[in-house]
Order: sequence, then structure tokens, then C-alpha cells
Amino acid sequence: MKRDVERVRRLLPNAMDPAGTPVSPGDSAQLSDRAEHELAKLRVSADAEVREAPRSWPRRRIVLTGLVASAAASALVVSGGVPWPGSGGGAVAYAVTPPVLSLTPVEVAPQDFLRDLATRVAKLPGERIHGPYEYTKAWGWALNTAGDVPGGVANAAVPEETESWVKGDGSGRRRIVHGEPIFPNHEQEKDARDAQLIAGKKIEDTEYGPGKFPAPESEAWRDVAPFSTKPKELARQLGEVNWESGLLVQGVADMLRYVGRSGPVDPALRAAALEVLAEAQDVSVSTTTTWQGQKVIAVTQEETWKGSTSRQSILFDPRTGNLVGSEEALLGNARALRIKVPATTSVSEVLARGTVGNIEGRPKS
Amino acid sequence: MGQAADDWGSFEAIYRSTYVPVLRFLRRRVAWDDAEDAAAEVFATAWRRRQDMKGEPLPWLYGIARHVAANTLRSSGRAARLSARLLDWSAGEDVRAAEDEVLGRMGAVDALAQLSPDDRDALMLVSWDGLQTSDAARVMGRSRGAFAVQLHRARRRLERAMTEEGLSPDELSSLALEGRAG
Repeated sequence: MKRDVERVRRLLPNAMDPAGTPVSPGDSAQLSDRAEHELAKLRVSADAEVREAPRSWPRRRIVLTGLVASAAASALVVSGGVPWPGSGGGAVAYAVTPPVLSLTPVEVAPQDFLRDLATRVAKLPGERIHGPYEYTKAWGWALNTAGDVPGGVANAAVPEETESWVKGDGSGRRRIVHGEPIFPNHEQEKDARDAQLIAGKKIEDTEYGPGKFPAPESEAWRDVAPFSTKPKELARQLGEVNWESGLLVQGVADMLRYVGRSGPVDPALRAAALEVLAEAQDVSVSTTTTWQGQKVIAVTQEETWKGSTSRQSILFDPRTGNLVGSEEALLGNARALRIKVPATTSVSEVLARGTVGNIEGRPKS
Repeated sequence: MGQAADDWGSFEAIYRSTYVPVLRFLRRRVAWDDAEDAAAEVFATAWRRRQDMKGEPLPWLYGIARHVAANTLRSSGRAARLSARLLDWSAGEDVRAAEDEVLGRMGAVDALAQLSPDDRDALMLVSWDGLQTSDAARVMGRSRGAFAVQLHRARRRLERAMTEEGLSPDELSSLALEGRAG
């Protein structure tokens, strides 16, 4: 390919570029009036967004500004508890940051294990549909970090429980109960609040019109769907979208969440996803028990950078092959954040799911 | 945009550093007069989809710009404008270096205008748009392997079209090898 590139560049040299040389108005390093005008318009729209929604984090929910991009995947472990609004309204104490999952590697080769699981999942019947809405109740926690505050870095740990009802047309309802934020370093509470690390409302309950339900999954999947149940073709489709972190486990999880947003994921697709993971040489497979006591299969990839290892696991129900959670953990060196590792930086776990008839309904357990 | 550009300040920095390359990318693909409108649409889309951005911003923005350019051409009913634009340029009165005159006579730009949009994109991404092949593959939504195959075929088709413009394969090979790298 290198030879092709070199030859193409010789055939089409810069002097032939129809965009001209960078000297005409709009081409200089200083933006043209039109470009400045468009930027100002965008700024107005951005300000309006902030007024409407105090803060809406991406899935990973780490706000990072300034100099510590490489330290974004940091975490902390703090002793003590945090009041957590339970589904029945009572307060339950949870650890501030969930512990790192204890992974027990399976006794066979990860690839064989995943293929066996895929074979079993592929034979499962499709789920019975009880209504047009996919209901999901999930528990999660994330560390939000700002890196440009006077003290160097400010952290806030924010747990939350989310119920969502989503229909195929992208309409639905979302109810989020935010736990009390925890400030590992209390002296930084003001910095953390100033950096908008804390969501504004304790309970958010919002209904959305068609196409408006906010989903953290990449919208790029829309261009790729429908997804193939043939592993090779599915792997190709996965390669067309640029997922967060670039790790396959993240791509597979994001795709399954996208497909499962408004209905159950077909067993054949769940099986194909497991087959795709089985083809990867750098995944490990373990059994573990989640923070809420579920026995799950963890498929894990790790990245190490300057002594700091980021471990990403996605969790599957061993009976159904459904994705039921994820963990991002930091092992080894915590880098510049002066926090204790190993620690989780983000966890999520599905507590209940199923199809229901309306945005008030919940599946029978 | 992802983590680092989740706030306005980061987005603005990206805007200021990438606006010109994006505008030039669009000028290669839509009518000159449409390029600034298209650039505005690219950055409006980028702001809405900022959570989707991973890695370097420019290839991601080019991916958006490629779709915007296609929509611009479709909506204006001027799908042939790129060809016209390229042909206009090659017939222009610009003062060029002697070497460029030679290349102009080769009809490289004319030949490019005769190719399919996908072939043109593959060729322009690695030449005038200045991308590495991995980023170019990402913009095209293809794996590196698939992009390599496409680039190879597009390069062969470009050379064939240039040969049809009147240059012998030997002359073409010689000029290409001696020509100035972009």
C-alpha cells in the first residue's frame, strides 16, 4: 500500500490541489469572518444546551479538561459509604466506589469457552414480547474528574440508578436517581462543584418524543445496522465504527447496547457477538460475581501505558449470553492523581430488563 | 467531543485548528461557493455528535465532511460539479511551475474527474487531504485491508485514465516517479 500512496502523491501533487494554495481568504491561520460567525452561532447553541441540561455525561462520565488526558482513567477508593436511594424509596448504604471485580479465569482456552457459550446461546428461543417498550433498570457508578482546577485534580464519585423505557421509534422515558456525590478530597468539593462534576437534580424523570431518547451508544451504528449473525460479517461491521477506547470489548458492548436499546437482542446476534470475541487473541475470560451478586462471565481486555493498566471487562449472563454489565478498572500506577489502586473507574450492571406495554410498566420478576 | 472536548473550550480549540483543513477538504468536493455552507454544517454536526469522537479530530471531521459533501451535491442537483470544478481548475489561467505544467499536460486532474466518487475520495484522501492510510480508511468507513485494495485499484484506474489522456505508460511511469512528492 505504501507504494500506492507514494505513487498517488506523485501523480496528484499539492500544486494541482483544486482547493488552491492556503493564501486566499479563509485559508489563513486566522479564521475568516464567516468562520468566526459560524463559531459564534454554535456557541449560542451550546450555551442554550447547558441551560437546558445542567450536565449530561457520556457513558464513561469522566469530565476532563486541561493537562491530564492520560490520567483520565484514574480512580479512587474511599472507605465509608454513600446513601443510595433504593427502588422502594429507602436508603441503603453502598461502598463509595465498588471494588474491583475478582476474576477467576476459566479452565479452558478463552476462545473455546466463548465458542461453546455461543453455540448454546444460538439455540435459545427468542424472548417473548410483552409490549413495545424495552424496560431496563441499571445500576452504575462513575468517577468524574476535572484536571484544570487550582489544586491539580478534582474528583467526584457519583452513583446512580437508571430506569428506561424505550420504543423502537426512539421515544420513551428515563428516570435517574442520583446518589449522593462523594468527594474523596473534601477540600476539593468546591472545585468539583465548580467544574460541574455533579449532576443538578437528585431525581430526573423525563419523557422523550420519537428519536429523542438520549442514548450513550454511538449513533454511527445506525449506518451499519442491521447486524449480521455471521461472525465474520459482524466483525467487519464492527470495524466500520470507531468505538470508545478502540478495544474490541467496548465495541461489542456498545453494539449490543445499541441493538438492545429498544428490544431484546436476538439470540443469534448474541451468539455471533460471542464468536467475534472468541476470534480475538487478547481477550481473557473469567467467572465472577458482580457487585449486586450476579454470577457472570467477564470478557476482559487490558491496555498498559507507562506502568498503568486499564482493564475493561464486559459481563455476560452465562445462561442467556445477554450483556449485563461492564467494569473499567485501573491497576498498577495511578499516575498523577495520588489515589489508591487497583480501583474501578466506572461500573454498570443491569438489574432488570424486559418488554412492557407502556412507560409506567415494569416486567414481572 | 469525547472526554477532552466535552466542554466548549475544547471544541472551540478543535474548531480553530481544523476549520481550514475541513474547508479545503470540502472545496475539493463541492462547488467553491458551497464549501463554507458545508463547513458550517460539518461543525454543527460535530458539536451535536461530539460524544462520538475518538482519536484525532481531523479524520473524524473528514468522515462527517464526506457525508455533508455528498448531501450537498445531491441536494443541489449538481452531482457533476466536482468534475466540472476539477476540469475548470485544470483549464484555469493560474501560473504554475514548469513541473506543474507538465503534470497539467498529463491530465492528472482531468483523469481524476473521470473516476467514480469513491475512487476519487480514496486518491484525494491520501494525497491532497494529507491523511495516513489508516485515517483515510477510517474516513471511508473501511478496514485498512479493504482500503488498500481500493486505493490500489483506484491508482491503476487513474493511471489508465491518464494514459488515455495521451501519455504512454512509460512516460507516465517516468513522470510519476520523478514528480514532486505531495
